[in-house]
Amino acid sequence: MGIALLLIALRVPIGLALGLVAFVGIAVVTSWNAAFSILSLIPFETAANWELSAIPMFLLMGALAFRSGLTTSLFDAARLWLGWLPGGVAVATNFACAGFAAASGSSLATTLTMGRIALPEMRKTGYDMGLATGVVASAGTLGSLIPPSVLMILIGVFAQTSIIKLFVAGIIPGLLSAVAFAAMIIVRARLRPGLAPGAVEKTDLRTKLVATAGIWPLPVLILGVIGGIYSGIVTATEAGAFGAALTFVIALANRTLSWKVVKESFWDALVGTATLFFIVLGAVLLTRFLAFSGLPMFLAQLITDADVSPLGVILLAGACYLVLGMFLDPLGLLFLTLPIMLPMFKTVGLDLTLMGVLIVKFVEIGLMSPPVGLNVFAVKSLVGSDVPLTTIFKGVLWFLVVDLLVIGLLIAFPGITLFLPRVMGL
Amino acid sequence: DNLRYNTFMPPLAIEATEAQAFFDGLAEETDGGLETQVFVGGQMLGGQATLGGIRDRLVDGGFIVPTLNSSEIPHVAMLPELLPFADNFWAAAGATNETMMLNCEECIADLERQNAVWLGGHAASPWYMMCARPIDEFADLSGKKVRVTGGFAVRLVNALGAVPVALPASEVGPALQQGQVDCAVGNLAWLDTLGLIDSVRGIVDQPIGSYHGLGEFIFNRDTVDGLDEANREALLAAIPGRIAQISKTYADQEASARAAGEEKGIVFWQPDEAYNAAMEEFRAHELEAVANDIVQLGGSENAQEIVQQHIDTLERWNGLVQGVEGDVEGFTALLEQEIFSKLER
Amino acid sequence: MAVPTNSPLGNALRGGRRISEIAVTVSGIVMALMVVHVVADVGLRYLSGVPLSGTTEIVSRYYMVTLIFLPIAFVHVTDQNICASLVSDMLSAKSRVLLDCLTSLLMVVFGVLLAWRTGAEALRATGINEQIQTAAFFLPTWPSRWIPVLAMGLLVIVSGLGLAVDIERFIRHDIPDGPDPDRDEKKVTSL
Ligand code: NA
Ligand code: NA
Repeated sequence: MGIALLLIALRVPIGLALGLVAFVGIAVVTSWNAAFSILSLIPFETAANWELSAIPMFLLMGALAFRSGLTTSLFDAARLWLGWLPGGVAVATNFACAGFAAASGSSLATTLTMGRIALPEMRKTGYDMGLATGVVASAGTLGSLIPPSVLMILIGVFAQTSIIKLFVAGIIPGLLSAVAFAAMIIVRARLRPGLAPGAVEKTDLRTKLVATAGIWPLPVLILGVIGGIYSGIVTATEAGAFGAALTFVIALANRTLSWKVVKESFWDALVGTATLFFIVLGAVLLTRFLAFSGLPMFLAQLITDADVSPLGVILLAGACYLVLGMFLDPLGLLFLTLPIMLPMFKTVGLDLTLMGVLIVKFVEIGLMSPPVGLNVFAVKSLVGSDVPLTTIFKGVLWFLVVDLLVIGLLIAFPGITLFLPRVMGL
Repeated sequence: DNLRYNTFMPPLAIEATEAQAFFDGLAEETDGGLETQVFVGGQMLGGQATLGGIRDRLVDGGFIVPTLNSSEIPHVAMLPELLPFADNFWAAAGATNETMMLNCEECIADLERQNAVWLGGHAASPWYMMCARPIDEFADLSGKKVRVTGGFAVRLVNALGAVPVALPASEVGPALQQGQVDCAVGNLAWLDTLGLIDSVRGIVDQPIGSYHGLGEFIFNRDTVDGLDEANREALLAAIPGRIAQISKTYADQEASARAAGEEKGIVFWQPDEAYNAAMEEFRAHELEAVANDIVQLGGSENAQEIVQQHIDTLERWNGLVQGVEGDVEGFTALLEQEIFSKLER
Repeated sequence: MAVPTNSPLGNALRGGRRISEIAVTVSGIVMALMVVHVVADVGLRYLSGVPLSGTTEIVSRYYMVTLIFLPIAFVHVTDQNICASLVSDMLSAKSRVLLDCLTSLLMVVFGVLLAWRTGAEALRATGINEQIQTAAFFLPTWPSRWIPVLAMGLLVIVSGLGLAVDIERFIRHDIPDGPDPDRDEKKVTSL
């Protein structure tokens, strides 16, 4: 693990560092034969996965939406309506992320898509880059909490619990997180105006309404995808391809589609898929190494020995996720922990839907926490070398604190999560 | 000895919990002489890769679903396909092991080529047709979109006049709820484990058959040969009891799922003559179809004989299990008497 | 990575880069196919009640494997892999070239390992004519086993050439001051 971190610090690609360390580690704790066998079996198996096919499709959908200007108008409208607030552009970014999350299944895609639009805007208006990058990296995590969500699909598969129920359960916690983020931004911007110096724009209602009318493609897209899922035309996995096709059609109707847009969107989505899955491959190999080393068993024993009350289990599980989440990517983290956590949750009688949503929250924190924070790296790839990683991590820290508070609320009041599924009879 | 065992089943599935309990018990019985590290869920290997992991001795043993490796082990893969001939899953559990350990030389050779050996397997509780709307007559099934996997199940659904749809298990619940499919074919426990109880309203109250030939205890041959004598004895001796226990757990799970379904108001429809006639008609052509699948996958040209032999074995076990269904000790004794005592050790 | 214009190695690396671009283009076609295929499956199921057979199998075995493996060489040769530049930002240009050498070397090792292992698996699958049974037909799956082998072979070639070029530059002290021009280019296509 230490060697992996050293390699990552030396600018070795993260996927490569994780994969090689895992390979050597497996050879050391078991045998070279086992390590070779892992390389024969695992990478292909990881790639050849139907459920994960939603990821490149949602990436393509996001890229098409961005390249054809659909997301820009959403962000513009949000800025016109919310611009008067202290930190208005950041608040607008936050809610635009929440809106885009309803069409995107992945946190990374949400961060990248909204970051592309919002970061140049906030840089132009003189925002503190810590705040600017922080809001993009953090609000991007709503992509996994607000349905559709690749993570929830995976959790549903593992926990043998209804994916749609998980989807519905994620809505209120997702909105709650968005509101909490916004409140924090407003308070901070009021206390330290230097953070968000943008001029308070005064626009008349007409301009606002015109701008709002201009965002029609995105609500249509979101309603189309959500409607497609909830009305039963497409499954959660098919929704990705469906959404990509729908975006294509909408952009065509909106006359913002050109051959260049299509080519660049595909290029973006392909490079995004390959870079993401290269890390996933490394992380999946690492989970195999950790499984061989017996670390998961050790953690399970630790939790079982420490406490048996449901609250204790939640807190200890949370602590595990926060620590492991520092180093592992969401998929690796899920595959590593779920086999240990789920039986434990079941033993102490915790609701698996509630725990599914909490796990998404925990895992999402891992996307933001140093030293391996994929969302932070994604934002870093959007800003130039003048914004160091440390600045982004510092900016994210405020959102991390808010996230912990939200998690506290979700634990204290399970009704926040379980209310909506109950009302919908799921 | 220290072993590694892989099951790709989710941690709460019967195959996973029973494997864990089995190896815990084995460790206790051998006073720690035989310890096993059990990997569940997606922790180590997925369903298709498990056989390769056993072959490479990445893991010493594992749970396999033969259909997922039908190119590697075409003869073994016929067992699950003969589901429509396995009404009684206790009988199917017995026949699975008799075929795999005594009768079917091609099956044993299949596994030998993977450097693997069948130490014991089981049968799942039977499949039922479960639909989002109640069923009143056979014609109601006509044109319904039914979720199934596997070639034989597609033939079955077609024979009932319905339309087969392929979906991963994880999507069955939502798909039923929202109408991507009208029905799903699977065991009653899915009402609970896949959450189908929220969306299913009608069930055809007649088992379609048991998915059997599930390889709970498939081991690397070198591992078994290399085990300390006492440890090997302990491992082999414990398997029949565990197979019986797995069957009992499946039976209990099915009973509680049925009770929950009835309480929720699901209509259990007694099939009419038209339904039964369609099923008869379907079974009549299956022997040949399954044999063709084996040949297509590169198996023996004598496939029909092999298939017929397993169908006969299933028949024989229907009689054998009378009186021991639901009785763990009785079924264990039967398995030992009919199969495990006849093995060359 | 920077490509010198005046050396045979540099020309070879440019050629490798061109091939990896073609690999991305092929992946793009596969991605478009995937959208069309899934949407056609949904459409047929919804409109006519009869879905396409084998969609999930073809998507997972062929499309996904292509999308994930084939562009890796391009991602490496254009230096777009996600990495943390915490330490390296503080280093001199010369040390950075050394770090590039380390990355390329490790990438060669990883690529060779993966190409070899997935190649062995591909040979085995080809030998048994690996196929899976879909709803209506047997789908040959052994060809898809060769996709990662191809992709990793390409990765080994471009990372090996990149390593050679970097070593040559290091020995000749041919290291430009200031930012690497190719580094900025990557921002255009990054993720
Ligand atoms: Na989402
Ligand atoms: Na992290």
